[in-house]
Amino acid sequence: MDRPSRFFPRLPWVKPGEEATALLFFFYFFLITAPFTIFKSIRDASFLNRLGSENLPLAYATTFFVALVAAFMARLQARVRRQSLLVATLLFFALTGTAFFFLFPRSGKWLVLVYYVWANVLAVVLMTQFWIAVNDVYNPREAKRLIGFIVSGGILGGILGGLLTYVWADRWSYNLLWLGGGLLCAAIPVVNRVYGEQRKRAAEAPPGPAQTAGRSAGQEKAGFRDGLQTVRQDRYLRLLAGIVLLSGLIATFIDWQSKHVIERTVRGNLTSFFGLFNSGLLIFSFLLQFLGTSRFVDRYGIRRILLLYPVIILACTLGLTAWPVLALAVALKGSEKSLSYSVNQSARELLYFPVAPEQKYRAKVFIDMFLNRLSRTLGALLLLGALALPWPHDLLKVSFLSLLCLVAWIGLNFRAGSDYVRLIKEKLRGRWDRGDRLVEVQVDVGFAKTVFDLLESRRRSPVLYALHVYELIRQNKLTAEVRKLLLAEPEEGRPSALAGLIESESAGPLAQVFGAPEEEALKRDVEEIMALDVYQEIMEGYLERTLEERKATDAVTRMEIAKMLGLLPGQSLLVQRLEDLLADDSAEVVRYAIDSAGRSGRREFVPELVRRLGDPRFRQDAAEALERYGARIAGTLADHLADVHEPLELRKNMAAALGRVGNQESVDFLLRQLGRGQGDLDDEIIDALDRVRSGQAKVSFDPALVLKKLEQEFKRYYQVFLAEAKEGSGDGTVKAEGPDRPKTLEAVLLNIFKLVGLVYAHGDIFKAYQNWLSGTREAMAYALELLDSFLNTNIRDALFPILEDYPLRERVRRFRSLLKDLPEARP
Amino acid sequence: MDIKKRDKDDIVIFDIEGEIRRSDITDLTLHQLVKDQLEAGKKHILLNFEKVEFIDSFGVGEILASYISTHNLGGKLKIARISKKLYLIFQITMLTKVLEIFDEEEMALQSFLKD
Repeated sequence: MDRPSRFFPRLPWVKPGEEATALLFFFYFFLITAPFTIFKSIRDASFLNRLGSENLPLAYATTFFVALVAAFMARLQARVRRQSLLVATLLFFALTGTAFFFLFPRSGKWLVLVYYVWANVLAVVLMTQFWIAVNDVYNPREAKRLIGFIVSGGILGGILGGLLTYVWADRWSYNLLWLGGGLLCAAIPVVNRVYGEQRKRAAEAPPGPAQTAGRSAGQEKAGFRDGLQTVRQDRYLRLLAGIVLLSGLIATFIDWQSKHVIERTVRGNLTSFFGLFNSGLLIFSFLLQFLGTSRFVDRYGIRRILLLYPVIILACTLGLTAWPVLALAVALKGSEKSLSYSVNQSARELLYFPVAPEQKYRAKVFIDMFLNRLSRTLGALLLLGALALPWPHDLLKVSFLSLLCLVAWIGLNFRAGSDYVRLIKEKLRGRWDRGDRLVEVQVDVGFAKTVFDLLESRRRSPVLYALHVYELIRQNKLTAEVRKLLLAEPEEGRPSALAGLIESESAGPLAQVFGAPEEEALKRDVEEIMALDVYQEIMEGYLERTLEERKATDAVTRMEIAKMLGLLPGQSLLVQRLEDLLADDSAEVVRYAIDSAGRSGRREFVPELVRRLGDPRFRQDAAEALERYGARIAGTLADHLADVHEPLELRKNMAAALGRVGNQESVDFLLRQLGRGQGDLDDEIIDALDRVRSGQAKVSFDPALVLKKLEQEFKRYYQVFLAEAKEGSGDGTVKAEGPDRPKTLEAVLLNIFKLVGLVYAHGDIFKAYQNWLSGTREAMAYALELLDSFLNTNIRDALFPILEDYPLRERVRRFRSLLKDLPEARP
Repeated sequence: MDIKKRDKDDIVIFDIEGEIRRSDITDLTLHQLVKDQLEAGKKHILLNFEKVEFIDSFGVGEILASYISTHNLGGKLKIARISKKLYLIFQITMLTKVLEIFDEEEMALQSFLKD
């Protein structure tokens, strides 16, 4: 086991194989935030000491220069290999930072403004490069899991930097710049190692859409103009840009508000104060990040997390406006910074993940490097404007500005949360539809079967054959292709595709009938004849004789009768004769009788049709016949379903039949049976409900009943899994065995998804299921992200341990824990 | 009707011989045999129709039911070596809209790999 792994078993969000990279990013972030905190404390203190808070808007305005530098960096990024650029940047800031050590004692007070710009450039450039590196390596699910751990490295770095500043500011003053430079240099080998690990990972993994490290600049355009263009063309990216812009404005106002109050209330060394403040702030952020952020984001989802930060800031701003005291200034600035470093940073980075990789780079360069800084400049201009207004109470004016922006920001965050889910959905495509729906839409099964019967009947009986042709005419389904089939004659001496089909001479007279006007005339004539009383009387006599002398008549004759009865008007008394034919000895006669019974729609045939569902020879035909009855017989079918004395196979077919009926009544019957049943019909009932759900939107499914069954299926899954996993002996390894495991678990999991699909958007649930099943890393990640965005906590907590890629031991532990909370499952 | 099963890689091949008609059916229908394989975790089913002489509407129902069961589990059911006569009927009845039908078994097997 790797050394880093020893620390990670306690951190369930770091999976085996991820330890090295996670730790490297942890230290990378640590080694850039520690020096930045030092530089920042010096920046704020030296500015307030030499120029005062009234000149702060000038400092904010200099972010415009930062934006220019950001644009330059964007161009550079498009031309230079990423790893090389990161290393060169670190070296540059280390050297220039130490240069200020020599400049400060010798220069005038305006050097602090230059230093202010330098520190801000450092922050923007190093942070953006860090997050781009994170994007290079991780997919959305990995990032969501690891972001808390990684960011905590940055927070720890900031804490250290702040504490060192607090302790040594009095004694060392500008010597701290050396320390900062040294820490930046220490980050260089870490960066090299990060990209080394990424190359190793990329070499081991199959190619996919994941980003690869150190891509040469020629392969991707990430210049400033490209970034601007990319953002302008995409609504979601414009939304993210708006969020960043507003958050930058608000951060500027908050910075001024807090420093305005701090300047007036703090006595003593300001560098020391800011060192302590930054350190304390980061300790709080660290606790929040390390212990809370990943869990927060996991538990409440990105949409709620996006709203948390602005709402808290809103409350603190109102507080400071009412009582401008040091404690509230610290609370406001502290909330802004701590939540910004932890929860908000995590949420903001996650918002980028559904964005296509090439768009993401370009957009991040523009938004994070340029727009972020531009927002400070805009904030500065707005501040100058507000402060220039001829009203008293500067703090009140700035607070009012801040509140306006906060309200707008909350609105945008809300919108971004919805769009995030929409983008995730777009990443997933449905891989297959229900087979029965597909067949229903694409194939006229009744027509197909009639054509087969038609062709078969040519060999058996001209009457049967004619009846089939008439049936097709009646339904306007005697297509040109079928006619061609029937009229084609074999060519002498030459085999033809149709040659073998012409096996009787009965095509002859019918040929004269084919053609639209002739067919219409035939239809009319036959209908009129069949409606005649005298016809009914004659046929009654014929049927009487034929069916009484059953043993003397052949099956074909009875087939003809059964077929003919289905073509009569349903109210004709002759149709009653189908009762005899439904009980016939010949399977073919019964089949025709079943079909005709379904067409008649007469209730007296339903019991026999139901009985025939239990016979595999007639199951399909009986099901189709019952389907013709529609919702009228839902109650009858439900009675059979609930009757425990009926054969199980029959009851299973009842469930399927009710699923085909598909109205609210049948759904209610099915759910009720699901709730009270012994479990032997569960698979069929759940499938029937899923069939209804996949087709109709206007039927409702009682959530209480569904959720109750869902709990049972979860429990069943955990129990089957645990029964088949065997404990190792002492070394803690767990093996999963059992030839039936994949089948049973897969079937139960499918049931779980079908049940979830009854109470959530069916299309989304099955997209997620099918993509999860696909097994590719990206598809699974997006599938889980989609489910995460709308499933309630209970279902998510029960389902995700099944879907997430946990080590076996972890999965066993979670299932055991979950089993304690769930009701008894069916055997 | 006689149905023999064989396996090639993870594809189950059913060699069907004779006539698929309801009067010849016992308890083990084609659909039931397919469902048994699906329950065993198999997802790729190929029906070899080389020696099928006749199908009635029951046979059509069995094929479609097998297709639906396979498809609903994310699997694939295909048909190979169907007679020209039968293929023509399948075309006219638009069954070719849902059923993938191949001239040769090898082509069908290759198509599973491509999927």
